[in-house]
Amino acid sequence: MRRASALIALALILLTSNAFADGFGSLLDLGKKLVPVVPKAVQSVTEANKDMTPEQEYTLGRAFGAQLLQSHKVSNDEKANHYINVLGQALARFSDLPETYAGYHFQILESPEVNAFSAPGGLIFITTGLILMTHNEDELAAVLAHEIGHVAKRHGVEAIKKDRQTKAWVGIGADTASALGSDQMKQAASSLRDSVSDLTSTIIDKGYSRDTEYQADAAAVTVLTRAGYPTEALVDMIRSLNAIPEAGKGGLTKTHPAPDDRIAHLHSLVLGKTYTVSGVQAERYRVALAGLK
Amino acid sequence: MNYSFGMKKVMVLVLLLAAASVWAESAQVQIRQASVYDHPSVMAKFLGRLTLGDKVSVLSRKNGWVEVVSDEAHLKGWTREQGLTSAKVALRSGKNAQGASTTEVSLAGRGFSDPVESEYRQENPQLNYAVLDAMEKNTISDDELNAFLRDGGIHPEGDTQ
Repeated sequence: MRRASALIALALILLTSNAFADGFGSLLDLGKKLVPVVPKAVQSVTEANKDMTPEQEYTLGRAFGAQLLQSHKVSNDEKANHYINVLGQALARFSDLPETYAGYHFQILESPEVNAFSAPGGLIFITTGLILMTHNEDELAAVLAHEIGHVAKRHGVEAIKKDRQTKAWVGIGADTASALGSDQMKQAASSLRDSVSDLTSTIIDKGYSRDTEYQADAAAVTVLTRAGYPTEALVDMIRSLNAIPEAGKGGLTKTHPAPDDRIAHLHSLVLGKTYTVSGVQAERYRVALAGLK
Repeated sequence: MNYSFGMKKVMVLVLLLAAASVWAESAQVQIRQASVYDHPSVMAKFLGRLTLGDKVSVLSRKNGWVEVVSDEAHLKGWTREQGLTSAKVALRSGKNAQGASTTEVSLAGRGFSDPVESEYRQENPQLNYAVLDAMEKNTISDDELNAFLRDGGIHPEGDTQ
């Protein structure tokens, strides 16, 4: 029995030395600290290997953004760009993917076309045409939340053809990029170009599937609810897309399901309450966007 | 040596406890910056940021949040699970798009990564990455984001103020 006591004492010493090694542990923490960790760690390693890493998604998103900017002019309106970044970044924290490799960043594009684009990793572009269709901050928040939804659901990554994914995810040849030879590097760059082409074809030309758009609307409802913005503003915004001016047509109208179908899908998620926009919101929305035309 | 049945059970227990102690889960940060809060909510007190490659010990988990300790960053608090990986994050040396030597931390790089972007940009010099670099500089602090919501009369879930 004395031997058993000694062994228990040894176990306690081992446990406490580990707990104190991190400088913060205490015996009270031991119960919750020890039990679940080992199986969870093994599981997360396995899952991580299946997915694109945040860095890979970021590299892909930047390449898509650079391609998008070949045909879209950016707005240099600092006040407006800052405002959509504050609003967008405030919302993104409430999404299911709140932090990406380099964060969420928003940029206004100067175009009457009513449209918005989200790149994997969190670069989001919105046209002046779409911003000017919104009536208040709540509706603008709804638009940004929909785009954040596409990023959080990783719809861009899904748009890449399956046969390219092996190269994009797992890499070509060597274990470390520094060990890639010039031929392998060219192959990887070529794979990046092909993946951008898949994204361009889906996001800019054809649009996501209807189901994918409904998913982004549902994700937007989640983000708006958690952040405290009225989800009804999303319905109002979609409803106003029924009346897109002629100059704005071709963008969202071409790539998204009909507004009435989107509203029908949102029916069960949105309560349909009336909402009010605070005086502070109304004023900052007006001041920030006053220079856009 | 002859041990009683009870004694063997105690020994097994001791070995299991010791093994669990040694294997306390560790992880590394796989995004450039991961915010740390004093409890698992974005509206909680912001304590600081972990950076890419920082090693952490995992203390507990709750709804997509992980309680971590980082000796390197001198931080203890809650961060999001998605910012962490149990895969290896390694130092990588290379050249940036302008040809200057860089040493950066990166996931032991397979697939798309900074060196691949450099190659892609060399092949496509017409692409405008400067706008993207400028966009990425526009990061607003948690305090400012929270003030923006509260000033506008917006009340997020978990906001106790």
